[in-house]
Amino acid sequence: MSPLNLDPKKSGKAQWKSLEELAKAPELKEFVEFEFPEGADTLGADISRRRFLQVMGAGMAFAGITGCKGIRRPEMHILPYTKTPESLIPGVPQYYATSMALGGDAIGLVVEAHEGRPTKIEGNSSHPASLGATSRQHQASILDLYNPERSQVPSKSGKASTWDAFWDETNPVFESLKKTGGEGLCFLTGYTASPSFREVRDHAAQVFPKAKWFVYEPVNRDNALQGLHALTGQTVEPLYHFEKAERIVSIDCDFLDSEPFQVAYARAFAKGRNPDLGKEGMNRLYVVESHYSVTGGSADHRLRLKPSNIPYLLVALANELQLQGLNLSGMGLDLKSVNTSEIQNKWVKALATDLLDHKGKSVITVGKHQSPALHTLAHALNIALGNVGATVEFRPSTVHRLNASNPKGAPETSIDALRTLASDLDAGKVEALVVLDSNAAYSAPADLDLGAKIAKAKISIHLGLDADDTGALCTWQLPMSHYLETWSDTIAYDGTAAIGQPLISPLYDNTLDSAELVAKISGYAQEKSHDIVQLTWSKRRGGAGFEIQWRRWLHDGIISGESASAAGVSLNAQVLSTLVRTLPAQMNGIELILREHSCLGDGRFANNAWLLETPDPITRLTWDNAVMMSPKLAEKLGVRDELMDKDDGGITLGDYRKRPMVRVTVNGRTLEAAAWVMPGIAEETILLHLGFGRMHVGAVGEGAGFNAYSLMSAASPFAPGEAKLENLNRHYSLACTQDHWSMENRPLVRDGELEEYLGNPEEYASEEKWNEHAPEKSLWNEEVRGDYDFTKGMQWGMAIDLNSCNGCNACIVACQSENNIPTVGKEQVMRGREMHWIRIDRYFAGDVEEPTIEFQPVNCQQCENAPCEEVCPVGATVHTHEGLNDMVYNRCVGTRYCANNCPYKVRRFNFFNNNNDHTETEKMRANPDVTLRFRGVMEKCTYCVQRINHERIVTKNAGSEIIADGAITPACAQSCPSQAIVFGNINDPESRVAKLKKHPRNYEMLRDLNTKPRTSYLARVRNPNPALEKAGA
Amino acid sequence: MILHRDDDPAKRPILVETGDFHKVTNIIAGPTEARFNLTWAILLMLTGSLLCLMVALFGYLFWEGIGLWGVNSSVSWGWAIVNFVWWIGIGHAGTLISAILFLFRQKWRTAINRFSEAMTIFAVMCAGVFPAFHVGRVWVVYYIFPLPNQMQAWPNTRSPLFWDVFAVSTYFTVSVLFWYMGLIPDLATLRDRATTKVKQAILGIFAVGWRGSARHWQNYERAYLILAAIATPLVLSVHSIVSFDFAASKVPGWHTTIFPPYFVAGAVFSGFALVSTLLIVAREVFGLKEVVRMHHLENMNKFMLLTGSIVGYAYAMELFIAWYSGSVYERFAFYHRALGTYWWAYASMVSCNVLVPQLFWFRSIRRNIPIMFIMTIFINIGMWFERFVIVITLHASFLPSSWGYFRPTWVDIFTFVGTFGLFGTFFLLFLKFLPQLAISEVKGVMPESSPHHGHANH
Repeated sequence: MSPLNLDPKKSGKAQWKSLEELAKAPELKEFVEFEFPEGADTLGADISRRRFLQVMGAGMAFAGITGCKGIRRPEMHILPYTKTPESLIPGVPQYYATSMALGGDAIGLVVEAHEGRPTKIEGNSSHPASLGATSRQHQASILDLYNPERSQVPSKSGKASTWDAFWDETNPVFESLKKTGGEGLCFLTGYTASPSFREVRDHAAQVFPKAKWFVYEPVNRDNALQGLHALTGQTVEPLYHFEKAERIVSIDCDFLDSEPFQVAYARAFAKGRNPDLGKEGMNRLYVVESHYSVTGGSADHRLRLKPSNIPYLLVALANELQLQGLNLSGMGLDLKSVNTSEIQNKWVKALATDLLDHKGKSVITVGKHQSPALHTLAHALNIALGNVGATVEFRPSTVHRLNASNPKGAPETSIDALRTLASDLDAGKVEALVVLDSNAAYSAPADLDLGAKIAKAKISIHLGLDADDTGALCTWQLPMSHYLETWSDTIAYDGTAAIGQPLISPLYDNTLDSAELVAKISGYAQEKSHDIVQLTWSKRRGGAGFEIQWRRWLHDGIISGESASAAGVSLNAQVLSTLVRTLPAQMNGIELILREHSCLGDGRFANNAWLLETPDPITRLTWDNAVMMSPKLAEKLGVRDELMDKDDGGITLGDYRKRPMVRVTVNGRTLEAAAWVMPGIAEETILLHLGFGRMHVGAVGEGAGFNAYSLMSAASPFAPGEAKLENLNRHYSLACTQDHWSMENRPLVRDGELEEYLGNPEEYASEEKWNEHAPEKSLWNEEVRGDYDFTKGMQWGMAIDLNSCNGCNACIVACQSENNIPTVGKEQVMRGREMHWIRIDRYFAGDVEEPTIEFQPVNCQQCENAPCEEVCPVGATVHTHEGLNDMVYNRCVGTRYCANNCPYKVRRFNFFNNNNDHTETEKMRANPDVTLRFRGVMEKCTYCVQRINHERIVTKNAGSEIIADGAITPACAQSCPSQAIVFGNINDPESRVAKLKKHPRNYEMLRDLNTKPRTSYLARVRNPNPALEKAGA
Repeated sequence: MILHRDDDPAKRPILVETGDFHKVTNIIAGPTEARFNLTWAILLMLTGSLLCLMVALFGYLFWEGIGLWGVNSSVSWGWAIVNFVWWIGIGHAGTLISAILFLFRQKWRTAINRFSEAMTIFAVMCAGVFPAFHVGRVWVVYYIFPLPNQMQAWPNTRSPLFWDVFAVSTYFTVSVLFWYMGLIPDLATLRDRATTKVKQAILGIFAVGWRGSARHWQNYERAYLILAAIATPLVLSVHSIVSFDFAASKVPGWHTTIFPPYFVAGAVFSGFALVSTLLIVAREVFGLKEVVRMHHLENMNKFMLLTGSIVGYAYAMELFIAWYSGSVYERFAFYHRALGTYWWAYASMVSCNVLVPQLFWFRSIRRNIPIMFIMTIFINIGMWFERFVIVITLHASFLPSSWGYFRPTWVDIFTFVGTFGLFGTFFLLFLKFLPQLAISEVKGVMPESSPHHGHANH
């Protein structure tokens, strides 16, 4: 056969016999070979090494590509609601009222929740302890909820276990204890503010009549309670009305920052601090203290004294008051004369005169760390001055009512409770120890050595948010519910009751709160927190309509009709006559004082990154505590050069890695800690803050600071005695956010005296007075530029009253919470990379040993002529028609030129990816209305633009264009206890902010640069006593 | 050409005296054709390692973020910008020598122009990597260019950084063109001498068909002159605009009108210093003593004396103006600059830049190779400190609360060291593969090239 020809024209009909025959056709063969080359499936011998490597290389590369994460995006799951909860609109936050107890004090809160997860804490404006504001700790408490290191399951001796195993093991123990009446059963708690818990406790006391209940609160209210009990025979505590007080004397009482009810006190104090009230109306604050406190920063006259001299100053004042005609001996007060220095004498004289001129309008307060006798004396003076009933009232103590083993009896002290527990443990009398939300093993005075004694209990159980130092020592560590996960009720300092409702069901299964655990152990009528709380209140306020009332309480955040009224008092003359004998003796040498830290408190917040990174109000130190000493003492110790600039302008720049370590020895116990200079601390005084140096704290707080409890003694917890200091010639790194102390004579914080202000208010803060170069007049209309007209529409502005600001830091944490601001850690703070959008600048003025303090909150000033906008090469920071200086994160390439050119240095750069490794729980915390910023972009204060836009939508939906004044409150303003920050539309002449901007005290910082900032400040006014001014004190 | 007849023979490259064009070609083209040079190879390994270090550290930076450097919220620009300005400054000498001296018909430039032009280009490359990598998000750094995009987002023309991008890229482009233009006749020479096909092909492409015809020469001379004329104002503009990065800001200590002339003088100063440093080394290593003669080095030293004194005047003047301004911020910035936290940097700057060059008043020092070498190193260090002193002024600006301290990290330091690898590697490759001197220009200044040669006595 001839080869088949497929061309039909040539051969007519194509015929073939077999496929083989067909395959031989050359055209087809050619096609087939092209399509399926021979030997393609086998490696021919003639394939070169080079070709082989090429093919292999390409194959490997492709294999690599498929393995590369960059090519394929990670799978994400969207979980829609299968049944949408009623009244929940995705994207629209919900607000619930709740309340939070903190060390026996309580505050009403409103918590913002997004799709069922709480994201932001606000104060409840109808709760008297809050009035809409909070402290930094309340703000930061939400971070503890999402702490990934929380105790999540019961664990036995450090090994994860189950609730079943726990109950299997402990039920027989409790059953047998029930039979013996609870002999050897001990409960240890901190202060509670919950009446429900008290109910459960009382029930447990019936079930276990022989059980002992110990209440240990490391930083407690015992002294005031005891002092007033001695004076009046009643368990009452003082409630001050600072708004009515024209003359305030604080004897080591940090009422603006760390006393119970401080948030409300700060508001009241700011109210009376208004210079427009006139010469008599504006209050005057005298502070006597050893260290520099926030309240001391607001003082018109501050006297620094060694701790053991403080009581005698008050005695001297009492003597002087008597000398000037106040009848004290009639009260039975017998005072010996005391030796005081010349300066103190002048001070006391002027003060006594001032107080006598303001009878019934003054107040003397004594700090909780001072001895009971001093409280007695101070309130005796308050009575004599006619202040009680006017600026002070004595209210039945809630803390006593809820915590004392005998609520009707005399005050009991925390230290006594702990002493008894320690000796019981020592004697082997403790069968079972149940520790409820207390870290006493850490916070007990060192000489009680409680930690080592816990093991002597047959079984020990710790219920806590995390496995802290106490949890680590107990047999069982049980996971506790966070207050936002459980139902509770609280009684505030003034007696206001509130329900604490949960915002989220417990993140970890089967966590319990203290009341629930005790209810389970004792077999209480109810076991769920909701039912326990409801039972308490139905018992008290039950009957018809309880359900409606209950709903109203939940809605309002307070329980109406519960506040306590003032108690009548009768004087105990016998106590007064022997008072001076009970005052602590004066000491020579260096004295140590211990104080709770402004952020970490007694240590309960030691794993809270927000609070660790919030600078100490006075020292601006973060992530650590240190031995605070005066410059003179530092010099004596030979560490001054390592700490301070030669010209006293501040801390030596750049040497943060080389802070000297010192050894403190008190009563034979030693602590090695870093030293730091605190200008204004009394010369022979050293201060250590409590709350640091916990052994079992978690990854965040690990290694932060030094445990000052190791120097605490049961006899005198907060002033353990004379201290010896040694320079160890070793170094430690400390992270401080503000190295420079002096304002360098720049008109940044403007302040002066009341007489000056009243004499010529217009000149008081004026540019002409403060600036050598008054701003020049612009050649063109700067308010209209292109499409933008700053004279029209809503124009946002802010005014910050420096007279109200006391530097408490609440705004910093509130801003951090609202705007998802990352914490960067100690190393990065030392590098100067903290991210806070609002910071508080603190300047010292005057003598370095006895300086005054200026606080100035600084956020983005939202300049109309923004220097940052000019220099950004990509236009990532631009102006809006409402006068905001916006950051466009997506456009930012990160040249950081804007930060260089910002005169206020408020811009913050993401040097690293600060949002990289959040756990699932941490992710839940973020505010979904605010972008999480990626590394390499600049960020800064936006005036909470998300809140502005939210309100804009609400207003537009309501059919209006103009947002009402006060409808928008940025997070900083909202949290501010003293309402120093006011935000609003400056184009609306009726708005609060517009009025403040017309106030004579109003000024703009660095106005001479013509940046035209939208944030302005109201100059500070001091109200010194002319008599003391002349005396030069 | 007429000028050179009267030149002192001591001021001409000795090469010029060889009297033989072919010999000149052999001497200059020879190294590019040699097979191997051990010194060169060792140096290349060294610089290559440093280059790898730089690449690795930029990779690390790209991966982790700018936080690897020492910059912080107060001092947002650190070593990256210091190094950028320093390298850009160094890049000034090349164009200045080539273009301005060319326009002024300074024949002695022949000895060093190719060399310094190459240096310019590599220095600008070293400079360029810093602004590119110092941004937080390198992957979107192209936002800085006016590229059409669907968001209609354009760069901000008010920003000095935007001007900077154009100033530097223009300078780089013109410098490369200028250098390449001068290379064309020499590349043709190399092409004609090439022995392998590959070399011929590559050199042929870059020689763009140069045949050395009279018409080629005419066009060449015209183009070279035009490029020289374009490049000359750039010498002034680049560093003026770089100085705007500082001068146009509000930062006290930056916000001064003296910066443009002061920066240009400083740039020329540092550029000449580095050219000298390299020339002194190259003379020894590559046996260029016949080409680069003492007279040339002395001229360079005189330039350094002049520009160093201008810089010193600027230092004094900015102190005076700061005081005279009456502004508390300006006064403090300069007081603090000289006597504050970073006084040591200021002291280094003044002693290296102002005091050291004064030694050049003495002829013996101007002509002493070891002393000269040490002095150029000092000047390079001093000029680096000048930029450091300026940038670090950020650490104490308007609000004392925000004063901070800048401390470099190891990444800062080794990245800078690494850029010497980038510079050195390119420079060594240039020395090996391209004629180090302009063959045609050397020939052009030889007495034999004069139309009047041999007729001098007529």
